[in-house]
Amino acid sequence: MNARVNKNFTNVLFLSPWLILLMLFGLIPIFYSFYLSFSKYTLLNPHIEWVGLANYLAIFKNEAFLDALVHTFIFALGTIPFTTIIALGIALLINHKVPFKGLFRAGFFIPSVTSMVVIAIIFTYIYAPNGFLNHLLNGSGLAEGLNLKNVNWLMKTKTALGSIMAMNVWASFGYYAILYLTALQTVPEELYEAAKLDGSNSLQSFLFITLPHLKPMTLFIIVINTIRSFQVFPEIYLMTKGGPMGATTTVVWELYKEGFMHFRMGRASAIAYTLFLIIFVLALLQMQLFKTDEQLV
Amino acid sequence: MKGKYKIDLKTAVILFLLLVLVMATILPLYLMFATSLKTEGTIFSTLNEIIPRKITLQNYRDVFKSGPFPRYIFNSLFIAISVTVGNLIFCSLAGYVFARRNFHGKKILFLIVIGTMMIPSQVTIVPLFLIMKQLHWFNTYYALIVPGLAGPFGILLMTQYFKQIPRTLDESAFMDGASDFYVLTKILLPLAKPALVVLGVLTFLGSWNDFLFPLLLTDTVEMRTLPVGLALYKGLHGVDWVHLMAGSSLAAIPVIILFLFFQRHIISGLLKGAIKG
Amino acid sequence: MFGCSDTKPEANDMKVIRFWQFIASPEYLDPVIEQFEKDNPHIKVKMQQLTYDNGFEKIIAAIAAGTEPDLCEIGSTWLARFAYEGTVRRIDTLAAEMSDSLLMLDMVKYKNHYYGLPWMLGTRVLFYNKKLMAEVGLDSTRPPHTWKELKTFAQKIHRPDRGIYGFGLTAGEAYSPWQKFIPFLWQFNGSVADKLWRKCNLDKQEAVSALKFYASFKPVSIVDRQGQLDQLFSQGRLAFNISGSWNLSLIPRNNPGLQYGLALVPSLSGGEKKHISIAGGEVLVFMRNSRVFNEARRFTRFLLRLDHMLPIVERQKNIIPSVKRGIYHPYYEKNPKEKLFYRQLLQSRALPVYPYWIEIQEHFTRAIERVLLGNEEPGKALGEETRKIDKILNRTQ
Repeated sequence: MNARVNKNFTNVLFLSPWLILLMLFGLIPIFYSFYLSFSKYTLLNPHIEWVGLANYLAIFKNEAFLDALVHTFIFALGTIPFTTIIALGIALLINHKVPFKGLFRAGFFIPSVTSMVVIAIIFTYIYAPNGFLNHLLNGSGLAEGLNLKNVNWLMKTKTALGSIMAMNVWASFGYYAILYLTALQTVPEELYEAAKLDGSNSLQSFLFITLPHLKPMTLFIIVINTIRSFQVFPEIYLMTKGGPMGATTTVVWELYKEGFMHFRMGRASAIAYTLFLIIFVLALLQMQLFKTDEQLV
Repeated sequence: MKGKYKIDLKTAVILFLLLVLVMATILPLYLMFATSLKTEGTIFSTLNEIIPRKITLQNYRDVFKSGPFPRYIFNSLFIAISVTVGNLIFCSLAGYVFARRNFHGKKILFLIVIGTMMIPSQVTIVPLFLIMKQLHWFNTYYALIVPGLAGPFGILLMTQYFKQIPRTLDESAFMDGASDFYVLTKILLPLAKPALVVLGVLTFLGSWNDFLFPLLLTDTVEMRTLPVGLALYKGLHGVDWVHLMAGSSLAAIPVIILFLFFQRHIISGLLKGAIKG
Repeated sequence: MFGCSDTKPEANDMKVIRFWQFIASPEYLDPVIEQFEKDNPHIKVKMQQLTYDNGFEKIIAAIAAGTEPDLCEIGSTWLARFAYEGTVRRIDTLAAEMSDSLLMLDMVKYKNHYYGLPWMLGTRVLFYNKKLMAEVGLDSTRPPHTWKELKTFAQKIHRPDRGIYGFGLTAGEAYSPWQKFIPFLWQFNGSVADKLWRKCNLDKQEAVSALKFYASFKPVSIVDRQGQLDQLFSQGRLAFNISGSWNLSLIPRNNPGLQYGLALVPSLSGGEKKHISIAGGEVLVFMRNSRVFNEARRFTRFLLRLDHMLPIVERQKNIIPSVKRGIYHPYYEKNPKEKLFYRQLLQSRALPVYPYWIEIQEHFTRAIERVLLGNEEPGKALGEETRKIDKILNRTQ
């Protein structure tokens, strides 16, 4: 009996720092903004008026929002697989016995270290008509072959979103590669040795020993990556502001516009909680799909 | 741990591959650094301008003199270190409970952890701003440090990593009469070094590069952080390239150093030895 | 006889003005503030410089929380909305008092009342590259005077395969596409909406013709964001660029050897009075809830004197002071490029003032982009976007 009380006490004690911070700085703003999503509130005017589901209905009737939703899905689906696979590949490569491991690790991680402001500026240049990418294409002859001469990558509706996606993959994979690297450390050496004695080659070792051990981390990475991709914003704000012709709008960009340019904070909150619902459902689905014997929870 | 490296074909190929990939990865940032050394400024478009012809450190000198730059660095450092230490401690504590204990409502609490990451911060900044006003924390370090001391990412990471460590180790310690605190600090944390290092570096990074909150919550030049100071180089129409790049290079350096210093610990190898039998 | 203790001036006599601004570097603004504080020992000015990235959010969040400053600089596009919501104080008397000395008061006028004071203004002029002109045999001392001339000149120079462009059209961002087109609209005698903002006029014949004409420059132009066009111009790869005074500090930084000149924006027919361009700028507003309006007013009068604005103008070069007779100051004799901006400003029109302009400009820009990027028919694009704009106008009827 005493032990049970003790255990409960420890639970609460250990969780309390997070719980207190959560309640004060997490839940209060969340409840307040959730309340706002059912209201009409222009930030410039303290008047708040209850409107029920009007905001939610309005956003789904809004073509701009629906376009943004589609773009966001494309963004997520188009970046998550690449980022994850490249991250895994790099982690495996670095984990191998090669010299200068540390420098490679640092090198791949460097994009994650740089602020998005700088990355956006540099890539704006790389994607310019007379920018670095076109110089590469021209120089290597690919431009002729693929009929891609001096493309203004961020100004064409067909290529703008893709360009930002590519930039995002470049900027993020190092982050996830480091995470994979930590997971690779939990695979016992002995398993590999035993497999070798049994006559397995590296591919088999990889498929049957490494991969299964990486399942929890893979789920973790995919969930985190999903949460982030669906909330993509700084790249859009810094590089295209939703253009050209609305080809790169995303849900959070629409949220920002509604809240801080049109001052409709109620609508903006409704967008936020709609997004929340979508991400939540997706995360649950992913956790179901990836059922491991060691659940995430 | 410099063992013998078998320089066989496989290793050579991997090495080559890594070199190419790393160079492609670093190239854009090399451009940032190279621009910061130029006397005048556009980013290079032609390949033969990749190596700047004339270099100068004047931009770095200018950046240091503009505004209390050392102060910005101090603020960013102080805040980032505080937030990092807080996360390392509080997320480990919470992670232990989520990884090792079962109780009513654990699933719900855990879903709340994940859930808080799914709400775009743009809608919570105004309410948060109002809270800061009530607390009279405007323009203080509290506002910039306290809210972020136990982030959901850290909790998820530590939980997930702890789960990978077999319970048998805990159990033998409990049988010897150990307390939870002992198990956490003397058994789990040492084995979780890779996760701690990663959490530390990523948390530091997030705090170091944070722009919106420091911008909103500081009112005087003395309280500004580095990203806010650097943003002043972006005018309404046009950017002061060379100075912005110099400032950004300066901002990137501490994190790179931090990473270089700690990255060996990500590959600690301690865990491998512990799982026998 | 007034026998209270007289140890030192009472603390309550000290008034503090909180002043937020974007445009002036503290290096040049602080001396002005210090002088003011010296002349007015019971007033202290706490100035904060905001960043263009997200700085506006800071103002909004402060207003929402009730911690807004007393005096604030905002872009002229935002004034109407702030006035409409009652966030800023109506200052008809002050405006009347200063109407003799200040330019562009139209910019701060909403429904016949004044809600701010113009501070640092900007307009758009024609930048031309002398070298590119000379290379194709054009007289580099004679920049194009009419749009037809510009088109002809641009055509001679335009070699996109070599990365050299004749003219620049803007798309892909919020403000510059309509800002670049609107002079055409005005020169064609068109307008965005009627004077009372009841109906949008962008589907009318004048607007369609203007957009058709504007789009006809496409074969001799590059279409990109204004910032990219400015960079191209400073690199010497763009012959004609309609842009603002920030280039006066940008070009020397990027390419000090560039040989370029400035001219008034071309006109349709070439008369003296027809070089209509667009003017915008930074305006000073007094927040409604401020308790130090009298002091802020005093400070503003101080700020809006030419001799106090010139030190900032001189160092930064990217702004025009809002003072009417500033153009006659000796400073402008020595700086012909800046003087040209001033001349242009005197012929420019202020952007339209309407509370929901930010939403309207989205559709306005979209119509232009549909023509420039999507190759749609101007009539169709303008027609559809006008309908959407009319819906917005209905809100304030």
